Amino acid sequence: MTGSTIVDEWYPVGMVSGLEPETATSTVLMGEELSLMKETDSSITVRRGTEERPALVRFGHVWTSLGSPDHPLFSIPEADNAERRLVDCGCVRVKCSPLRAVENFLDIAHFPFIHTGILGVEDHPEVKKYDVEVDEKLNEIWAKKVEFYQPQAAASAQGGIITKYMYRVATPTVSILYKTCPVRKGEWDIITLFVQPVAEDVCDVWPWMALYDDDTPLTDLIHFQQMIFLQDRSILENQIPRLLPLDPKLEIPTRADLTSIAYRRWLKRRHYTYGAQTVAA
Amino acid sequence: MPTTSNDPCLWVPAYLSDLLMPGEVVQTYVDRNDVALWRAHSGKVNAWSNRCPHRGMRLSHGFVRGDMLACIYHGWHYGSDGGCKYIPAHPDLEPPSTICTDGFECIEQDGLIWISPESSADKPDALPTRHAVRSMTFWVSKQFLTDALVKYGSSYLAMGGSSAIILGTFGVSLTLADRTKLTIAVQEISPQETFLHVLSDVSLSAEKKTGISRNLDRLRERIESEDQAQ
Repeated sequence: MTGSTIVDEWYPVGMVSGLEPETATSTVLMGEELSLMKETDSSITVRRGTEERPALVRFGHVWTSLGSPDHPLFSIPEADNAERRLVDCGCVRVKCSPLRAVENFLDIAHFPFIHTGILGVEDHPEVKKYDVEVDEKLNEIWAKKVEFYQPQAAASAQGGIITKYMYRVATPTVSILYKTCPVRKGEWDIITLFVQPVAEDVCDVWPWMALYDDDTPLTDLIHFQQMIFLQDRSILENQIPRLLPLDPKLEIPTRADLTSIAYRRWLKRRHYTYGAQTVAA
Repeated sequence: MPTTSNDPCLWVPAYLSDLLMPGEVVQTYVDRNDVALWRAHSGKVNAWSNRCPHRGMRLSHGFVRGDMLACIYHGWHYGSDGGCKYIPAHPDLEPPSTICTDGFECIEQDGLIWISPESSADKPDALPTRHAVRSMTFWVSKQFLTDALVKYGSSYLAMGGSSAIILGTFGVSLTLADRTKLTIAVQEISPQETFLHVLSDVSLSAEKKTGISRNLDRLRERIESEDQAQ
């Protein structure tokens, strides 16, 4: 698993529900033009020119690779639970490195300043100690025991709660968040960030959710997530440099950034440099 | 000696003093460096490299609290010496002195905020003007703008006066028909974009400012259309 290279990774390239039957949809993955097609038998094919690429349909999205993946797509066992509501949230185009987008998703310390009054408030900015580990078997990063005060943790939340989080980085451009479900005690809501690298400094972000929430109208759920990601975009398009620096001397982290530190080290160790700045500019 | 866009200027006229209010932060450029320029509530002006040392966020998107500038991303607060004073995620932590913004030399003189990319001993040359008229953007290079100002700035701006335009390292100066002195300080933003800051020696009536402003707009139309014709 540790040998996977950049091209041999799986990447999201579109929402299944967005494809019209027998109509080609074009998209760009790491500078390569691809064409997605829902065939007459409803199977989905991905082509680069006339050449067929591997295609998987999972978690509401189409996944492909420019190389030859030697590993299956990551799994989210909870997503198969029929009681959960699966929500496609659409796409947000961001002019930043795909890695900066993932790192921002792993960050909670910005909630009081960027998602003010929703995911955080300035009176409760503290990030308590939490645990981060690399699961060597799956080659994934896990951050656990993350806690934060949130005035409106989700579209379904009534008032402020201490929200518990677990973050998982499944591939360099995929992160999965498990967060306290406001309406079902003891359960985790799942919010994912599937990032499609369009170029080293442009990405399409496909958020997707698997929630326990039968009441909130679909448009409200989507608007909530779109609002959050548009707030994040104002940050992501104003970070200098646009690529994620892997040299630890270039940006100074603090204790709250343990997940980000682990993420940068993990990228460096697996030589994942697409969207990264490896030497000082 | 005329300055050219290839020569780094020692002092760059970056903003009209009167237009940067206490508690305000703006983005500007000095020798192609992205700069966050801000005024503390005490009145002190600071110019810093426009990136937070934490995660590279542009500090010009931040907010001023008292005499500190806070980054909008995580609220890290920086004092006038550039040092980080407060990290909200860890309210009890005293930030190490190594967390520090990159500062530029910055002074206020003659109604302008001047920034230098190098630490220099000499102040900018004194100018006879200190009252803000306006700032504006010209979509041409600094060299093209400066040459054009010398060539026919006087015929557009002197309002019947016969005074010639005088070229200095900061930009140009001229005298209007009624003997009002004007300074036009020129600041390079990018190879295609130049800021121009206009000041007068006496405080002008609103009517007079509007008149000068209209002439500047006409001058801009001419200079930008000439640039496109090339």
